[in-house]
Amino acid sequence: MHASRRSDANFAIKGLTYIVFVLLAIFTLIPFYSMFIMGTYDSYRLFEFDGLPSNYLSANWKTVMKVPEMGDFFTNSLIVSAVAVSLGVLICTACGYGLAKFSFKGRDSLNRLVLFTMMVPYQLGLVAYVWEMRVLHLNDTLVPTILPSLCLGFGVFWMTQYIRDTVPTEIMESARIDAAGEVRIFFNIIFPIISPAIVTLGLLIFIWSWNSFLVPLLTINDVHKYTLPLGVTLFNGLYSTDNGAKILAISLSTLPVILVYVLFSNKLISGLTAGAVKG
Amino acid sequence: MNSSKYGYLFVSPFFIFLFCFSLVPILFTLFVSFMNWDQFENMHFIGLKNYIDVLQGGLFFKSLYNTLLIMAISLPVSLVLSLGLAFLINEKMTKMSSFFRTAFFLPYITTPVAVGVLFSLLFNYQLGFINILLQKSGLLGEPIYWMAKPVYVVSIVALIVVWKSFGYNMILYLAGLQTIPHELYEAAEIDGANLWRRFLAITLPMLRPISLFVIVTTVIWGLQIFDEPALLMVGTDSSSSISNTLGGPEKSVYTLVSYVYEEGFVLFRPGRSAAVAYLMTLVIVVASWMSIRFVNRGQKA
Repeated sequence: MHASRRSDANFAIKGLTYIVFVLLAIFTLIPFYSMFIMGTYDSYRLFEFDGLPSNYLSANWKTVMKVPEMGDFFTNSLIVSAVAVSLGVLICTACGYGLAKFSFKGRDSLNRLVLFTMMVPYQLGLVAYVWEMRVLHLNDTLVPTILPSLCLGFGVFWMTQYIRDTVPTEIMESARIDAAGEVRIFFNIIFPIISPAIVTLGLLIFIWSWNSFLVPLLTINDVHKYTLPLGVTLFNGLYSTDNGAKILAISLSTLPVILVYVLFSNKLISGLTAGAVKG
Repeated sequence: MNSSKYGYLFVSPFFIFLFCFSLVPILFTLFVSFMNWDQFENMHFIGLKNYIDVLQGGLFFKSLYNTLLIMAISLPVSLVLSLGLAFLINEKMTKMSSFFRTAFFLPYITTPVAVGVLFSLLFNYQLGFINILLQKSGLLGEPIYWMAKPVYVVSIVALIVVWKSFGYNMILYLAGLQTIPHELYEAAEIDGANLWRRFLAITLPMLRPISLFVIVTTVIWGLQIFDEPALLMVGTDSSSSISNTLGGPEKSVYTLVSYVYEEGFVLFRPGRSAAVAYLMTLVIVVASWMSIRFVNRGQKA
């Protein structure tokens, strides 16, 4: 009797919990759903929006493609993300490996420096960074947008923790006895062991660099060098009254990052939580 | 020893980049904050004048207030929501299907610029989904002009922050919960502790470290908010430029970073922009420290 009352109560809580979860999933997904659906509407008929797709997708697509640089925006964003991910992961992993597995003079200070850069907001050096890029004639290139991904204190901190916890030093020692070079040990032995962390860090850098807005806004004037977030802003201004086309443009700009996320979300989330609990 | 040489080899690329493109700008910004500089040849030392001007100008405290207000509305909602959900999942009240997990986390990865534009369209006066929904359901006679009133705009930005952060925080809490040994809960259940008692007596105290991480990262991230409010307001006038509509009605969503941006890159006063950036960092350091104190209150070290 007592037990059944308790299981009744549990059953009620379970039911309520499920409803809450469904409602929250609706709250989370409705903006995305309406974004993709509104892109199929003629702007003049958006007020008839009833949640179902309309027939104006191809016309909106043509409007979006009227901006001749639209292809450049995609290419530029892809270049930024590809370079940022490959170099960022390599540099952070190498540094984390060095800090975790080698002892040398000044290592503790370098560890503290990494922690310090993690806590400092990136806007702190913004004024001087933009000026520095101009002095180095890197304005109107994609370099200023890529560089912050190569100075990621978070990435180094995270890799240091991960390598310290998962890579046994004996593996390196036995490889050394086999007379493998240090660089080869790093690429051929360490990299495969820590591949889960590499995937997670790579995904994070991809997302961050793809979404980066303020730095390209301040360093790129040439429309041909715009990344997608800037392109969206430009399109937003050019077609400020054509909401159907505008929303299709932002759908397209977020689609790559959403696709990558949906494909790898399990790896990203499990990697993130593993890092957070340790850190 | 040979090993240390390779240690330097592995760490040096990162620290070279960090030095050139992060530390040098940060230190040069500090230097600039004491200067009157036109970004070209003319630069002279003016001591603390930039800081004094900024602190006396009123806009700094306005932007600080706005940023803190957005945080004060959204942070408690996000934390209660994320911790509650994580707890219910951990208590096996529902299955954490990968669908929910993927869905709740999705806003976190979405381009902030797109989020700003999207929400400005959802809350559009004539064509926005929200007004249409409210009117069709009979809750509203006349459509609301959301972008005109500070209270609405601040609420919408706070809503975006909750929408964006609760899934991320939930996943961190869930990871923290999984480190709590299950015997603790079983013992409490045998003693007859109900769900709420178990939450107060076991979950909350055991989660202290992860709460610290969640609160500090959310505060640091929240104090840097810029993209979403800036893009939310673009297009509410006839221009397309971010600077024209920066801050929205009565500058109600004019954040700390908006101030750094406007001084440095709209008004071209790098000295003042640098001073604002350093004051903002000071605020972030103090806020992080206070969060740490808050989470660890009553705990003797």
